[in-house]
Amino acid sequence: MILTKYARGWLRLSIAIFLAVISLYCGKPKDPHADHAAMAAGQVSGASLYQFHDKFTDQNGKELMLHELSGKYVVVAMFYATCTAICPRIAAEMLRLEKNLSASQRARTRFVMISLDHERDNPAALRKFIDKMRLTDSFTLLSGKSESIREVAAALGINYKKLDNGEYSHSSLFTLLSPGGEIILQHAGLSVSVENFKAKIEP
Amino acid sequence: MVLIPSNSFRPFDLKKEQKPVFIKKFLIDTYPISTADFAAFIAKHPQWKKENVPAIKADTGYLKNVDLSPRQNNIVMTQVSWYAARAYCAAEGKRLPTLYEWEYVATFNKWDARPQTNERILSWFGKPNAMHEGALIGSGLVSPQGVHDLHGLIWEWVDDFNSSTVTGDSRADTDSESNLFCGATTLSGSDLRNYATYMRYGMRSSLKGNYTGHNLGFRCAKEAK
Amino acid sequence: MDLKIFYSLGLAIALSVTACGVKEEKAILAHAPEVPPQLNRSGNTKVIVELETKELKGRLADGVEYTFWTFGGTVPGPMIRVREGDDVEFTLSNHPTSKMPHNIDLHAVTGPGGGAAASLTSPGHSSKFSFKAINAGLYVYHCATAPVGMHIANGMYGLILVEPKDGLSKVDKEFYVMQSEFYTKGKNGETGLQPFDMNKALDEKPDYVVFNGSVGSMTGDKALKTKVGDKVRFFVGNGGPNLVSSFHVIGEIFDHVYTEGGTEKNQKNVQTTLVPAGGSAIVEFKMDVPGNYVIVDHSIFRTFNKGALGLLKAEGEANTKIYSGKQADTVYLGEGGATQTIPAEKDKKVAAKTKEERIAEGKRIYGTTCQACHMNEGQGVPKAFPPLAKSDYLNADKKRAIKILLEGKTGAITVNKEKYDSVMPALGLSDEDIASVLTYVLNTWGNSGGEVTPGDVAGQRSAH
Repeated sequence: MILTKYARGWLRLSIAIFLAVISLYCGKPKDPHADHAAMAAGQVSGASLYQFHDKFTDQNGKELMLHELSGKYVVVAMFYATCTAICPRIAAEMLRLEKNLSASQRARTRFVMISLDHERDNPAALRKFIDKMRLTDSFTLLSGKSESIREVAAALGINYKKLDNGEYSHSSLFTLLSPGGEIILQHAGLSVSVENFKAKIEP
Repeated sequence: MVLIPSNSFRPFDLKKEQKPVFIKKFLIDTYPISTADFAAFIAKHPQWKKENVPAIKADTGYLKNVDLSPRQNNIVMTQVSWYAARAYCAAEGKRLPTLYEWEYVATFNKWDARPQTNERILSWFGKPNAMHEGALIGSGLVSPQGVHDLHGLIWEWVDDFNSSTVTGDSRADTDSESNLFCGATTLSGSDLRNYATYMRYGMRSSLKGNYTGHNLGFRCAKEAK
Repeated sequence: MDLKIFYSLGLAIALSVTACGVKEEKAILAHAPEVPPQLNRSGNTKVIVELETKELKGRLADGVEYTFWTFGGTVPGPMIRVREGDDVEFTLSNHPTSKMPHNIDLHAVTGPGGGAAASLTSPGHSSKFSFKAINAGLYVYHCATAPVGMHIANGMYGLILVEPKDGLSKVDKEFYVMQSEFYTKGKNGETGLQPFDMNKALDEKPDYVVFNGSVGSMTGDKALKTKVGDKVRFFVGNGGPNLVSSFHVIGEIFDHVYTEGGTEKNQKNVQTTLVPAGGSAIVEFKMDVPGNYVIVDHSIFRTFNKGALGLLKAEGEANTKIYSGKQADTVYLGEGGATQTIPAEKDKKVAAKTKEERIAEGKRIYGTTCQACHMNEGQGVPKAFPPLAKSDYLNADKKRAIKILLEGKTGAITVNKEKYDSVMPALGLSDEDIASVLTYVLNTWGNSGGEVTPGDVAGQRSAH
């Protein structure tokens, strides 16, 4: 069928409408900013982890309150430096996640590991772990008082217990916090789904 | 409060080859906290009023359906989160009992495993719940050391509730290579007939710090000089 | 010309909307014995399943109550129906009145714990997880929170059907039946709210073995109904927690069996099929002859003494070529011929004294002891068990009725102009119980009335 100029015009219009509707309905990405739409600067929502005002110390000995992490996405897990069972794997998974983010996503994300071992994991021990696991500049390792650790673990849903021999038994849980500190994704166990995490971080 | 003397103790989740746990002497509340107690606490610490507590410290069930008017002082306090319970005890110069401290008193000399007692404890699990009734303090069982209501009334928060690493019955627990758990103390259960204890451990592992529940309350403990 | 363009424009919009329209559907759940409708879509979709766990008091048998822990408020929990390849998004909510945390292990899930680890839910909270139904088949789901035995024993199980990609063949009626046991402090029949008995569960000695969560769930007006000519399919599950079932429908043969709920129609012409604890089976057969068909666990004491009995009715034209009137009772009593004695129950603590009390107590005894054969309105089973309703045989001679309850009966009798030649076992009832149940029957269903006392019974007993 040979189309007249008139018909071609209408065909182009149909295709244009088709494409417009497709792009509107299909695969509409969720607005990653939807979490902190109502947040004014310096204000933190009730569901945010930054409601905890505990003081932690990072691998360089600098004192840090959790809300200082706000503004970036945070992937957080708990570990301890002398752990040889799954903590190396937790670190490796976080590295793998970091590697698979786009450059702009990496710039927006901080990887935080909080130590369960308030007695032994001082800044030197944390630095040793970073060297051993070859963690990048995107990583912040924290240690704190046992009360603080217990409170944050209870908010994240991580179970842990100190054993007779000084080791810790603990669950493996990766949590993604929004720039405002709210939990937007969690993965229990190992073998994180990189796609799921990537989808929640603004490109 | 009741003084609990120092002793060694084999908790439910201890493996055969592990040494018993040492419980240093401590004081524990004779009864769990009542609604009147908690109402007085909120009055003095308004940051724990429902409208002032952030969601991460207490979920939407916080104080729901709880009558906080100080008419009676024998209704047990429930619908409180772990953070709220900790704050209450801290305000009294106390703390929550640890899991082992709580379990030690609750299973002292295996009093809870005696057939008649165990039956009464298990039958509490079988009774249906009425949402609007508050349970009466003192209506639970009394331990040999004189501590009331550890069984048959409510579940109770402990300071390290999230040290329980049981998920289901045998799924991740017995598998030492399991992805979910680091270390060896996943719950194996030394006495499988002691289902009540098994259920307490299971209940604790389903909780997060901000959770509240119709059957979930607490009592405080303190160092003994 | 304009019309053609108008249509192509409309088609473009319609296509675009449907091409990426809502590709997810909410699963239709059905409570036993109903089955969710056959899936009439082609291909796969995302299925949303929302299930609630709730602890509630309910009827286990007449006069017997139990605190059930349930999925969806019923025992068994509702049946879920999806297709091989579907993505399932599962939300489990634990009602705030629950005392216990609960979770779910679906045998259809490939993944750690079958979903149990991901779904542990505290009272008043919800958990969500997703899985792909990569294997077709009929699968059990159950709560797997420690201690698992107790959660299952209290009623937390159900079935999920993952249809193969081409679906299942068309039938006229589908039914969902799930067998399970209950372990109570009191004996079978002891009234009141019965607590769970841990020791009996550990010893695997149940007081009740039932279909669909209670005694009589598929009898009387709750019997399953079909028509002659119907092709019927049963999705059979076994929640356990302990026993294996020997599933049989009296008077029918399974034309096809999907053994253990797999995807192969791998056996034909089966009388009784095994359903493992925590397992399933699918059976298909055609209703050829009208009548009542009794659904049983062929470990037969479970059927008559513990409640594993249901009824399937077929209505329609008789087909005497297939069934001329042979009796079905030989199957019930195994060897047949000899009169069995069923061990007596211990005497009840509270004795009925007045006629009204006897009638009330008699009604209860009828329900636990007589109803299985004589049916819930005394109508009996044609050609098998005589009716007690408006029964000329019964009303003619009370002494004879007492004798039958004491000793049982063999040999041919005529009741309401029909001949019956069955075997009734000696039930080993006490004098009080015989007096009560006879008084009840005589004063119900148009019978002649009157009263039978324990003294009357004792007199008959000593006369032999």
